[in-house]
Amino acid sequence: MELEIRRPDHIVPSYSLTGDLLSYSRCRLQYRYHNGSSLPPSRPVQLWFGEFLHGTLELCFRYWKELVDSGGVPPAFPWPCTPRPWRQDAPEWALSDIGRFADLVESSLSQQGKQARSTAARESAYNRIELAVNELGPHLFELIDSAEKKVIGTRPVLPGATELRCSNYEVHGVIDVLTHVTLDSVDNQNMIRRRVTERCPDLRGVYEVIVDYKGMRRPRTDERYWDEGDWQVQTYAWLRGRQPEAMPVAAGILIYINELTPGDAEMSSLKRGIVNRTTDVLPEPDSEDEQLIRLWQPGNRANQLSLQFRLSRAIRVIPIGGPSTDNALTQFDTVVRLIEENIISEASDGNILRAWSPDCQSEETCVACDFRNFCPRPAGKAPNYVVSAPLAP
Amino acid sequence: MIDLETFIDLARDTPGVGRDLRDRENQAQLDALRHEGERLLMVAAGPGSGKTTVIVLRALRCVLVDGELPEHLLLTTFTKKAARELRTRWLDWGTAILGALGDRFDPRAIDLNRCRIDTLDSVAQQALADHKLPGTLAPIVAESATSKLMLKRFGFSDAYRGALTKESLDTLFSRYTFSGDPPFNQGEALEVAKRLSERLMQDRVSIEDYRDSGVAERHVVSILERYSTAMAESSVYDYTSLQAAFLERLRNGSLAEWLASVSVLMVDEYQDTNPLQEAIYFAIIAGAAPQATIVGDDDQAMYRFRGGSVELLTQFSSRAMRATGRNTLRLDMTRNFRSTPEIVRFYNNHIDSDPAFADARIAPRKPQVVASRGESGMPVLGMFRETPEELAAALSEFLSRLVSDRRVLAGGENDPLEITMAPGGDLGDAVLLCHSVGEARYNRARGTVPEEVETRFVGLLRRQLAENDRHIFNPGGQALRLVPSVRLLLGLLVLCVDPDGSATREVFPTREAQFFLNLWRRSAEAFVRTNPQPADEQGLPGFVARWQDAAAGTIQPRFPRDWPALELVFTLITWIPAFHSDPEHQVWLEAITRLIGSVATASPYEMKFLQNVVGQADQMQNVRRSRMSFIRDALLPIAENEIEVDEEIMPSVPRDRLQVMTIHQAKGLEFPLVVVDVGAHFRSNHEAHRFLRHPLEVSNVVRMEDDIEPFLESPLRGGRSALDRTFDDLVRLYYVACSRPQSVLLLVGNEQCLKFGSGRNLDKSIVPHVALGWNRDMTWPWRQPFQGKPPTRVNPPFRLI
Repeated sequence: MELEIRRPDHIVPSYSLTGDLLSYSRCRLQYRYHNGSSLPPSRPVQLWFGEFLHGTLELCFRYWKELVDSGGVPPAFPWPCTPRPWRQDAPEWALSDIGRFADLVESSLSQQGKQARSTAARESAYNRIELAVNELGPHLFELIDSAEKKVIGTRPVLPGATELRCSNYEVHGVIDVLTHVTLDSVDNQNMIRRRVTERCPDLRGVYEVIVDYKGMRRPRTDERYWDEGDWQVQTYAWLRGRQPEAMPVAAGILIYINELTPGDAEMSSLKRGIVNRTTDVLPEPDSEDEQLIRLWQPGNRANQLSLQFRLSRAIRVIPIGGPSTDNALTQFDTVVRLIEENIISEASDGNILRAWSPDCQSEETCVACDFRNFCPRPAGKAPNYVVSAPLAP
Repeated sequence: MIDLETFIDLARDTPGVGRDLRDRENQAQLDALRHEGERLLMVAAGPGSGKTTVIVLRALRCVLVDGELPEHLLLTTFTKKAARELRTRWLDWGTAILGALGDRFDPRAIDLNRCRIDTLDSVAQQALADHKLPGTLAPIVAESATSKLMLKRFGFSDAYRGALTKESLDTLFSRYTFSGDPPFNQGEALEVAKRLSERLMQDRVSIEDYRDSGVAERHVVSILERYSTAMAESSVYDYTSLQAAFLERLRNGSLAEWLASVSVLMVDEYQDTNPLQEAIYFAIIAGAAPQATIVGDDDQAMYRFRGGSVELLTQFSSRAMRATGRNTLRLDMTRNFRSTPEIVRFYNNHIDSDPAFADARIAPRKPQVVASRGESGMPVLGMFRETPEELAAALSEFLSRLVSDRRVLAGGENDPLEITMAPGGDLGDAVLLCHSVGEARYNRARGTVPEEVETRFVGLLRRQLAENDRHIFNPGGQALRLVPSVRLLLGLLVLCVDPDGSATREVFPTREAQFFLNLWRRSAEAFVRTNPQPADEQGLPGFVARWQDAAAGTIQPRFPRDWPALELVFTLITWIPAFHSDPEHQVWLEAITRLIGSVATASPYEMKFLQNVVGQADQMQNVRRSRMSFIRDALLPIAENEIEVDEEIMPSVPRDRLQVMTIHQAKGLEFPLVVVDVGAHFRSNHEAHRFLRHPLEVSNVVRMEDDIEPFLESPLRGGRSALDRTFDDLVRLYYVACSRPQSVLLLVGNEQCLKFGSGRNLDKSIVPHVALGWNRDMTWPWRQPFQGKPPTRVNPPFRLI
């Protein structure tokens, strides 16, 4: 008798927009190790700040909302922010103390092995969260319809020559904040509304806005993070638009939290962006902000920049729809196709390095990569690069 | 919406679905699909009978015919892998049928992705995360290694340190160890304590009554309570406490909104449910009044050791009535679409032949499984040899020839049987199923016999196949501590952090752990001496020397004050290339790094090495202690074989490798050719392996069940003796194994297992085994009648090759 061929695995793989698709775009070998083999990062520092930020903002919002829903009046902004001294007992917190919410998040992250890189990094995170809550909260909280909204959708896998294990894939993500905006009913001093209408002047009626917090600086327009941010909100909007209760999504807002308290990285990038004309938010000519930026040197503090300018840098509004959305979806469809082809290649060849040969272009990514010591092709190295012995530690 | 008949037509006519339920052979599936009304539906689904088809079509019917929204459906199953498969079928078929319906449905109104299809653990975690209580965060679920470490730190270690407590606990725990002896070391005692405390929660025992039942029981409850308090203070849950928290919130009304969102409930693999999970399902049924379907097969229950209780399925109707007030309709699906009639007859005979098993099965009894495929002419095959080495060689030859020559002849010259391989066929079309996939075994020495490592049948097969340039995929088959490249990696870690072995001695390793730490160290020392590539700079010897200097307290300018252990691991594998590119090595690396990553949360130095400390003695102590805690919390669990690999992380197994699996892992799977190891090592009727084939004593798992039974809310297992339940589990295990193949079932074992027997009662030279037709009363129907001297061996109901 002739043996059947074992039915090939057939699945509808599930991909996270940020956790999978953006990670793969950065480096496919690193993606294979971290996401395919679930190898944990040795220093989950970036994870710590992102989750600290999202968790604390959410807790602050929920506290504010519970008071409003129960007919109470939330404490006026600014709220105090008292961090728990490092490894000491908690201070006497006021109920609205941002430190109280942040502490809960910090302790939960610690249980998951995620901690700040240093006490300075922790202090900086607390500064950033304090400003984020107190400067964004008054405008944002009243508009929030839901926080941490899950969105998910199925898309066909792009056709190609290689036979894959799937014909469809699921893409999912979590929208940090979904606002429900009726133009006429919102105070026109509301910063969020102002920013949206400036960027999308023809909007009328009821619509939604997607807000995503980013624990990073505002990317320059020549960096891949710039496009990826756009694709992310466009795709979220597409996913959201498929939900039965959804209203039209008019815009996406990315909030680059680090711009609220700019440090060396933010200022250097800004100066470089100004010189190369690769940043979109510039100081007013001859303004005090312009002078401060011109005079700034690494090591200087940047807290003299005006709040208005810092908010402008922090907030990026992206109009939704049309070719932009189609382009974003195509980008992700292409990434999924590539991942699935790599999986098939590994299954037939049995060699991970060949199937997922690295192609990272970002030296920044490689410097922080756990697999940098044996990577056969790190960014910036010549084609004949040979792995050399790492030095301790 | 559409009517049911239209839906049935669509299931038949839609490309990609193509299920004709009106076909006479699919009557049971049709009945299950048509069921409606108040009664709970229980589908008793035999192997290969199309239960996924029924679940998915029934779920789609709920949406398209009954008008339920997908987000109101809740489908649970036993493993993440099974959930993925169910979800795949749901999305593929749902998308195809919706596409066929064109504009009769608004695609925005029906979002298939919002259907919840997952394991109960994930459902609980998601529900608790989505419905957080004010001021709280989403639950953190601890890996098994982390929860074990927390149990050790916050409850167990202190209690076990007291001599009197230890003595009473050891006495109790000896009932639950594999050998029946007191725990061999603290690691084994901890393992029993963990299993017992989980069982107390899974079975929902009355903790107060259990505590009052004895001194040791009081200690156990005290350990459990301290552990639970520590977990609660950190908002951390293990899987059992997560389910307990979920149940509590279902019952106290704080999940009312979630509950209101469930209008359809379907539970797959119900035979492996435990009482805690049953209580959750009943709380959902009672609270949400959903249309509910449970699917399972009592004959395929095999997770008693994880708390599964097949009795919850066999008694489902009465228990559901008591808990929810609803009646149950049972439908049996016994038409098999997977295997040849020859194979189906074989396993029907296996499950039916022992009269003592009949009472363990669901009542009224299910009809026998009926094969839908036509006769293949290929009987069940048996390959039995005198030694494991010979068996490995023969099996390797058989498989290698099949792949390289694309055909193999078996069964002798007079009536040869030919098996051919289709174009595109490969070794991956076959699977080897074993009770244990272990390739090597460490013989723990209690006396003067030196420790040694013994290669087992699967290890022999790996070697034999490798000689033919064929390979197996069996990352779980070698204990991490024995895998050569893992030994190197772990040895390099030991060399770097504890050059002279003194830190290891200070954490008091067991003799067994010390044996392996020494083994690793020796492997690594030899490896370093070879100065492997890359050897520039100062190569591996220089790298290790710098770390050894740091461990000794020498200030190293390049070293920061602390360094994550994980980063050292990722750096060291630079010199062991297999970890970069080989899929099996990735599974091992994941197990090591998962352990280090997860125990960091409960380990005092968070799996970081402190160094470059100048001045105070206590600071210098921290340099040393950080290394000791790494050895104690990360290396000793591996040395004591407590860490399991997770093969599910592999996106796919290379097609050219023979997969080796435990029978448990094979649940729900099918392969064209299945090889079942029924006893490669059973050369005699030795007592030591009776529990694997024909038990003399009650298993430790069943004994724990019985000890706990008096403290359950209501009797569950009292109707059947403990020894019978021990036998039942073995019968079911081999039933599952033999029902996996599509075309060829090959049993392999030691030829001694087929000996007819000698002596007046034919009880000499026998090796009783339930997988080979033995009944538990020591009768063996395979023995044919004879006159005069007994034959040499039985005539088994398979063809020997």
